[in-house]
Amino acid sequence: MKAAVETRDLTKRFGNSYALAGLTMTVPRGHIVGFLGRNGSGKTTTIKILLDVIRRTSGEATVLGEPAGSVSVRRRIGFLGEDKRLYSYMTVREIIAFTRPFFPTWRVETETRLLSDFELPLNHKVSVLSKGMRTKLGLLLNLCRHSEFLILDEPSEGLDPVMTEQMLRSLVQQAADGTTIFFSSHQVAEVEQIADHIIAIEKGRVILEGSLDHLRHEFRRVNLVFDDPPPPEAFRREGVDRVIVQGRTISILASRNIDEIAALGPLLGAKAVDVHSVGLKELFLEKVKEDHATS
Amino acid sequence: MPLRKVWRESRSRFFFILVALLVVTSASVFYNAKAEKVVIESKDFHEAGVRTIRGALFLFWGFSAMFLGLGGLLRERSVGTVDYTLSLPVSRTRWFLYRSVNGALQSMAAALIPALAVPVIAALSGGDFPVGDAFLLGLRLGLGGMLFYSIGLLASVLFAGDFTSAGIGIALVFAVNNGTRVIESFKGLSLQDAIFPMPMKDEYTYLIRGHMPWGGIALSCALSLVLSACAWKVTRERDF
Amino acid sequence: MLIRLNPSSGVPIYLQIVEQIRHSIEIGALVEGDQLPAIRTLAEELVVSPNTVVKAYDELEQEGLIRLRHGAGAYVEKGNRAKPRLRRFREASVVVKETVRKLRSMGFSDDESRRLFEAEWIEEAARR
Repeated sequence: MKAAVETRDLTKRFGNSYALAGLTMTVPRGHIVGFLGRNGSGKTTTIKILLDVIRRTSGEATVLGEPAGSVSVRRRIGFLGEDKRLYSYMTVREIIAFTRPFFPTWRVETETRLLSDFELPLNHKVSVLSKGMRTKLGLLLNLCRHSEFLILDEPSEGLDPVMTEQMLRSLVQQAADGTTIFFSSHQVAEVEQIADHIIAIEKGRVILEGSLDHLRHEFRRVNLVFDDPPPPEAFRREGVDRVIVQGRTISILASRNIDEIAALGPLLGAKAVDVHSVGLKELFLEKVKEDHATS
Repeated sequence: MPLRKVWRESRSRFFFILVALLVVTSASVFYNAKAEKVVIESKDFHEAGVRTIRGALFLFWGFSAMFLGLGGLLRERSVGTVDYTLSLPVSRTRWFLYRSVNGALQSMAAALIPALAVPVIAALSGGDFPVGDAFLLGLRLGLGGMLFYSIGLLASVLFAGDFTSAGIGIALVFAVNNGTRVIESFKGLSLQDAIFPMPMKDEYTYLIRGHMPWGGIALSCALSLVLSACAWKVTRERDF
Repeated sequence: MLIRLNPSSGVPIYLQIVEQIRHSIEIGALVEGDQLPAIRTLAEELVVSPNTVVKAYDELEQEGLIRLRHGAGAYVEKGNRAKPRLRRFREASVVVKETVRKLRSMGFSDDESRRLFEAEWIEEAARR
């Protein structure tokens, strides 16, 4: 099965700066994939290129095996933008009737169910709906399509916690039906909750990628306490990502050979050895710092 | 249906323009008729009618056609809905085609309907103006004036913001209209003269001269197509 | 199901689910024959990826704690395969009961018996 998205060395230049500087990533099918990055890291730019809303400067991008600009692939995907703005002059009923014919996989039962679940007023114009209502409408317009692939840009932006939970739950429902979900977010907590695969970017490049469980299994923080700490270079080896010295403690972030690294401690005279698991937030922040240090 | 959306978004503007042009046309007919007392007595609305269509209607319609060319994807970007529109399985070319054809048809209607109102007004005043002539004059205006429409179309894809594109469109229409009068070297290029070459009336029968100024109309349409093609290209290449 | 997750803890969510279901089985909140929620249902309830629930159920099946009947849901396994840990606790408490009875029959008070155990543990630890 082809990946949902494949990009290779994708770049996008705006004037003199590069919003994307060689983005190579794969969004696997059948997963809920979190696209994590700071503001301005290139998340929205990437998504717009996948939808052909903006043109790439160089590199390749395919969606569901077809080139990103193809019209036919848009029949198989859904999209909920950050803006969540819809045609203000149409009523809820009209915009649903407008959208429905484009998508052969549209299911009317889902439409009926969501209309009542979301309590959307059919005869109201979009212009009078609250932001929460508009988000629900945007969600409905996508979920009824039962597309193979759903892209969301900052879906919980501007939503209260109850609505966010409701939205995340409907995404889980879609995923259970087989839709691949790709959502961008700068909220680590919600990514950690529902994503099972993540791609993190910074300054237009991937800094972290993989199954979330795999990352949780692999990464560890090893804290070694010394009376007289050896230089950090002593710990640079296969699998070590970052070494930080804080007073008498040397803190090592590593993704492989944890046992070997932990064993180094006593060998070099450590008084205490502590091994901790690493949460996504910590991992992401470390990778951002690492990226800044090397560039 | 994409076409229905395009119509929906343009229809209030279209009806407003139609009503305005009808008002302008009617007023102009009466003004012109009054200016020639001879006409009132003989109930001959020929001169008044032709002057109206060639003068007031041409002028106001020119700007109106330009306005009918505005809108589109760039406008949707300022409103915030362009992401949704472009995420649908409809190509940019198709959106452009629907919008440009819709606007062109509306421009044509905005020329024909007020032109056809002239015989109606004449008849209501007890006078006469041949419907056939009115139709042909309206047709001349609509076809020959496509240039104005495509000026609006091009402005709409180059400049974001309703006021900017409208302003630039107005300036360009003005330039095309009046520039050819004011600037000596361009005197021969007046679009108005090309579409409605004087004298219009046959001296003896007072009927409009038989043949249509195909040369002028063809040139205007050709230019209009060039501008529209440019607008299409910009739409295809642009980052939204 | 009363499962509380902590997505930020660094412990994979599927393991947290496994641990909590395993614990429920051990303390008897879930007994053999009980049906677990469908994958989709549990995913929606916990608001986690369905893949995560699949992983958790697979792991529990591997451990022999549950049985996935294709198309008919997940059920807590019956018999000794289901509760190895519980059975070990039961066996251990039998050993303790016997030892306590024997020490009492030798004339030791409960306090003296306790001190004997502690001394043994401390010595054991010092030897290591």
